[in-house]
Amino acid sequence: MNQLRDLVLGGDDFWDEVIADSQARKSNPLPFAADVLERLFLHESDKEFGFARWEEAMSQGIWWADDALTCLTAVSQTPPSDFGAWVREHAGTVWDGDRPASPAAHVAWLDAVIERLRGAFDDYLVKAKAPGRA
Amino acid sequence: MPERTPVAAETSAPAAGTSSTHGASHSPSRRDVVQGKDGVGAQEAALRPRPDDRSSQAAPTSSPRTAPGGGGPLQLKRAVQRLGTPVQMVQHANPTADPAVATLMSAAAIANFGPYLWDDAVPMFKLDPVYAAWTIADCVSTAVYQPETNAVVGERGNKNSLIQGRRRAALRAVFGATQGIVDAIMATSDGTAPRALAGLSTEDGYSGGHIVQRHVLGSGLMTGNQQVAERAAFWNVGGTAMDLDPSGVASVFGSLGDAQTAVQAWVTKELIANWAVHRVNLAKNTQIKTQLPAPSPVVQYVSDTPGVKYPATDKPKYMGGAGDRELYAGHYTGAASDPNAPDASKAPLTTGGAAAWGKVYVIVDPKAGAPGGWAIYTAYPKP
Repeated sequence: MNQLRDLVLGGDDFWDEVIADSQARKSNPLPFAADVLERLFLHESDKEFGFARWEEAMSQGIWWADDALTCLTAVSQTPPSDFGAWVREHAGTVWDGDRPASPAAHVAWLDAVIERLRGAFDDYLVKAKAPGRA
Repeated sequence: MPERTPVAAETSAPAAGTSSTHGASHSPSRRDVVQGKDGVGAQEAALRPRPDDRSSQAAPTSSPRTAPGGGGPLQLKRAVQRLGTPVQMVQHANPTADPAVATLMSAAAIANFGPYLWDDAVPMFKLDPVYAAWTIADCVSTAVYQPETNAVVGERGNKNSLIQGRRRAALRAVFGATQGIVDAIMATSDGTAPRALAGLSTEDGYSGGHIVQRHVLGSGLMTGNQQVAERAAFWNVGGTAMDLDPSGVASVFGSLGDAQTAVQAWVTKELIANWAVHRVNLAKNTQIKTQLPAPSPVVQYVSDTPGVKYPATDKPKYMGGAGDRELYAGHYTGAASDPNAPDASKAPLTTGGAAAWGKVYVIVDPKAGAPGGWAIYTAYPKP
């Protein structure tokens, strides 16, 4: 693993930042939860691609995915006002049909997404801990 | 009180995959984890090296050593010189290994050191350099082990530093450092500068994005103004869904050259100019997304019902639908007497056309598989 001094990537300073980021996200989960939905789903008309992006995000930095699940869950448990609109704004959820679905439909979609992301996360952890890993 | 019982106790947890590790159940008390009340304990059991693993990785020493909580004497001794006089510094990995230490730890209610050694020459806790039983549960930024919360009389050092150090060690051990992105960043100019921007279709290939497909006039599915207006009205172009945000605005760069110029301007003014910051964010698996000035010719249309798409049946009759409204003013070029001609008394479905917009919005994905560790995920013009 490359770790140049000028970058301190993977060094103590780097991990300090990762830790600080994580603490900040979890102390105020709404903005990061929005970021997560935007990264995974907002620009994908076919939301299935969002789950492929999740797999990639996990493989590149599990701490990001760990924070993502924690914050998404926190938001779903203590939702902002007009939660359905919030979900649609950040996830770009639109259903086929003549008109967008109800706010409740957006929320239901998010609940299902969180469970699916969590399942993939659990699966990833099992694979990541295959023999040969520390 | 946070507590981590010895390895042997955790291996009795139930089988992995019995429940979630996240959300409401993701932050159980450490006691819950140890007792296997959720999947975390189970995963720890499945993932944690067996007790033998640790003893086999211990540094060579003449002193006997067992796993923490194993019940046997456990001391690492090394002589150090202090003030010119040999001093025996003793590091203990078990709170009961030494009578004096046992008294201290009992007073502090510390029954297990977890990954720490107690150095009574300082005195303070230190990470055990040969500890190998890290799991994902050790990656949390909150206290896990008793030495991280319980103060020992005379103890020096900072509890928060213990927690941060333990988390760093666990992250490295469990997941590796940055899993590919750093290597990719370093492969270009030793990480001192980002790679050159590729052609946007190539960037799409790197990221799985769709800039060329839907954000450039004359490229992909956006072959002309009609397609941009169709997206604004129906959120669908040629049978491909293209959802819109509630603004209801569909826009494209005027040409592929305009798009390339605008994105290059963003790369120069943002990615290159702030590379020292961005490379770290990319390594942290974080996107870069900003909007910057980059004047560009565009074509844009907006529905007269922003945020709500028209049903496909509202497509004008002259386009094969059943609607009687024109897609946008001037779109219909047939005879007014044609039975499929739009109703001139009704407003078009969309308004817009060519314009000059001043900004570009770009999102960069961290991407271990892309050259340089990143790829342009999307880019589009903004007013």
